[in-house]
Amino acid sequence: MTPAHPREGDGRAAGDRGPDDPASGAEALLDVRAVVKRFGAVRALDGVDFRTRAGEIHALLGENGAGKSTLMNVVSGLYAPDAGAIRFGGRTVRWRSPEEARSAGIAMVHQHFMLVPSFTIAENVALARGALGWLPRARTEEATRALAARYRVDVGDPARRIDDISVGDRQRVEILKALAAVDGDPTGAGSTAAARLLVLDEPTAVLTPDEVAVLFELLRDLAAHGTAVVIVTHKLAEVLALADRVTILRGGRAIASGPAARFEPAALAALMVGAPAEVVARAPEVVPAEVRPAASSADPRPRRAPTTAPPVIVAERLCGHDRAGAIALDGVSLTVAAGEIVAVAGVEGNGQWELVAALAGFARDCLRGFSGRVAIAGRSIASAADARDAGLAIVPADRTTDGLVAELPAWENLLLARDRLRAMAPRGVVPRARALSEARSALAAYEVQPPDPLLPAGLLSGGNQQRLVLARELGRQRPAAIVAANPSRGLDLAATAAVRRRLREHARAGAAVLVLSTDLDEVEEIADRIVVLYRGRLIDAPSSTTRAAIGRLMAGSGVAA
Amino acid sequence: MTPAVARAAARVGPAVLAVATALSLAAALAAIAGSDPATAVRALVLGSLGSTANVADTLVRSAPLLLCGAAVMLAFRSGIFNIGADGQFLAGALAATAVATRIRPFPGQFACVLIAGALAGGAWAIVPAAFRIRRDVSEVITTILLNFVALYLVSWAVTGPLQESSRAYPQSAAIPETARLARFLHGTGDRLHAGIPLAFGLAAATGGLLSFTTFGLRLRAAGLNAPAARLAGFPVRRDLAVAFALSGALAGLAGAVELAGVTHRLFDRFSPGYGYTAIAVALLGNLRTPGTIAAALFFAALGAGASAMERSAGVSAVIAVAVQGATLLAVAATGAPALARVVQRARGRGEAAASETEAAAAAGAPRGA
Repeated sequence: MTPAHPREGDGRAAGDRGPDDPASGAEALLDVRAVVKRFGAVRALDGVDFRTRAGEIHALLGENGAGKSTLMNVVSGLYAPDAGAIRFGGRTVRWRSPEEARSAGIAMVHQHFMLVPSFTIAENVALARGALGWLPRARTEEATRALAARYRVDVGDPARRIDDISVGDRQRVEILKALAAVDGDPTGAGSTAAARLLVLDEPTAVLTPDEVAVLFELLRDLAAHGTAVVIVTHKLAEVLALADRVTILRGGRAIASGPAARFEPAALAALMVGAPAEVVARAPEVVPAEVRPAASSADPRPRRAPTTAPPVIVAERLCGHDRAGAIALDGVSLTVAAGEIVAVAGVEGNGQWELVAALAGFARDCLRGFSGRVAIAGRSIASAADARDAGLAIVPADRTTDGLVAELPAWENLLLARDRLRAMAPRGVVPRARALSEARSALAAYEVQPPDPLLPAGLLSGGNQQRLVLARELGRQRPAAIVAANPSRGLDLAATAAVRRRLREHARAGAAVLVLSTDLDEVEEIADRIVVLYRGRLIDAPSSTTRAAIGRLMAGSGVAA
Repeated sequence: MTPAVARAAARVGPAVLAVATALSLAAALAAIAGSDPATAVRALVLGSLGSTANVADTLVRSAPLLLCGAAVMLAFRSGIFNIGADGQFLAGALAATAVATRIRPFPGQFACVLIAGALAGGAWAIVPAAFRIRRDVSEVITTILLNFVALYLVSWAVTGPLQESSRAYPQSAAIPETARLARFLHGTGDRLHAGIPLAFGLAAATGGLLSFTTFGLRLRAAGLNAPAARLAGFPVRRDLAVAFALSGALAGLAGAVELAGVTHRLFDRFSPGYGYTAIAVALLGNLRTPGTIAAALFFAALGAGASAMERSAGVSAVIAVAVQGATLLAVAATGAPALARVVQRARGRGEAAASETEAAAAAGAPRGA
């Protein structure tokens, strides 16, 4: 099949020069040609070309490991290329350090927040400018305000501590920091340098839909004022909503590039993953949200009728307050039957984590005044040990803090579940040879790269850490129940399809599956039944509920239509 | 096999380099002090390995370092920064002295002495454990502070309730024969005591427990990442407390062994800093048993050799301390993997705490809005 052609392709390759291709004119702000970057034997970049011009929003798409981050790290001076040339602003450059790239006007916002939580916004921005020593509070705050005004980035009162602001605000502080670093001047007074290129690595990963909208508005405004914006992502919906131009990386090369409007959405997905038809059909992001009903004919698997199978996960009237004293769970009752997949849709921070904690048996450790009853496979759950003994597999939302011990090698991380450890070592002594060989096959089955069981989990990339957690939790024989929070977060399309397939297989084999997700597409694709979690309360979404209505429920506005 | 060889080389390389650096430094210091460096180094080596008596001296000195080193190894690999082995050593020695001198002698008393030492060391470590588990107070602070408490507790005891009946010196009475550890190979200067094989055995057992048992995996997981261990269904608080207690017990046992096997008395300044040197021992040994044994022997040999060097080459034994410090610096400078891991972990824990507050803030945000 050949979905890989642009809409008006007419046989032209996607990367062909067109009248509006920046490479055809001299005005390309950034011009990367045939850049190669090797790490040991791996060619992370294998002769990649990438061009972008001032005032344009350019989406850099690709699977995990396609080379997106490496390319941006080369552009921002973190890595030196092994071969190839980079032209920036019309002259050939060879950055010797990120500072050089910054002073030339390249601002980089990393995927993970790099903020000092106990500092104020102004102090974090001053740090990014290279401030050393004592700086008067009023002056740094004034400088931050001036910078925010200049770039129209609304961060509110710069005297607020990072601890106290929302995730969306934090992201804007990160952007402001990147812009401030370009300024260089520690005081921020009288600076004239301007950010010419702003690179954002996966900027929407942690944002709510509302915050994404605010971010996009901000980026469009920056672009309208002449800054080139490059956004590294693997979310297709974002590309269509935001980008003027798209470049797709695969295996360290640019395999297609052109105006965003020229690409069939399905073709984008196909290009990214190398085109298996199954995956293209499974790229529901490309269907406009408002017109797609929850159980449309496009749904790959129509929702099943209410089940009569016995309940496996039973939660009754779960209540509790978080450490700050706010209500986290407000009378949640829930039943998942054997063989059923129930999805809990919701914007993060509405009680998802607390619900997982309650089902996994450790709510008492992290919730104040927890009450309610949880039973799994007929067994009452009072501790995490109970939950594991009842046969519960858990995929936590935060793999690095809850799922893995970074210092321990992969093979030991695969044993970090009471039931698995007992099965491997019933007498208390771990049979190393068998554990290692089983780890090797698990790493291969879940495509963890590199498949080295002795490598500490902390050295794996984010996507591969998630695969390792999935290998442990989903790789077991016949779990009675599965609770998975954002199971496909950080995974590429092929791996996402594999995870969802495995969840379905476990359900078919009789497991009760509960998926908590912030991604409506995931919820709709996988669930037999959808519930919405909002401010610690569960709201049923009948199968007739439209996608738009579910979105409204997630945002807390009113009842189902 | 090549990666395995490379891994082994990466582990051993820095240690070898560090030891070479340390010996060169010893020679340089001797030269500065006005002695012949060759004579000094020869005295250093012969004094520790030159005769059976000297080897015995080295082995005797290695026992407390090895037990405290095992204590530090267990703690560090379990994500616990136990800087308090010295205090636990003293607490063990103190309790051992009490059992040895305050109870009428009976056959097999030495076993009770050792058990008392281990229990007291474990109890001394349970205090910081409780602070960390209940109030999230860093054990770096609490264990160091408790070292001073133990130090002055011993000072008080040997001038007070446990002082010898003549009250001549700040020391306890000599412990009775029944409380002393058996000696063997009398021809080697009659100094080798049963605590030495015990120390080697327990160091090996500690490594085996950590690396090869489910319990060891639980201990490490609990200390390194409590949320992940909790999710796994492990009893995190209990495991963490046990790891603290076992670490303290090993150090406390070292104090009891030193008392019952070598000094036979408790006195002021009973520990010449074994608990601190043990940190260097464990790190130089890359937090693994073979390395820790080798490092304990190396530091013990340095101590034994330095005394000999002082006698025959006229170079102050203080040089041995400088060499110990230099060795550790060299280990740090050559990027010993163990030290790197320990530092990483300390940083990681700080970040985890930060992200926890972040997550809490994020969880609160939509409600506040």
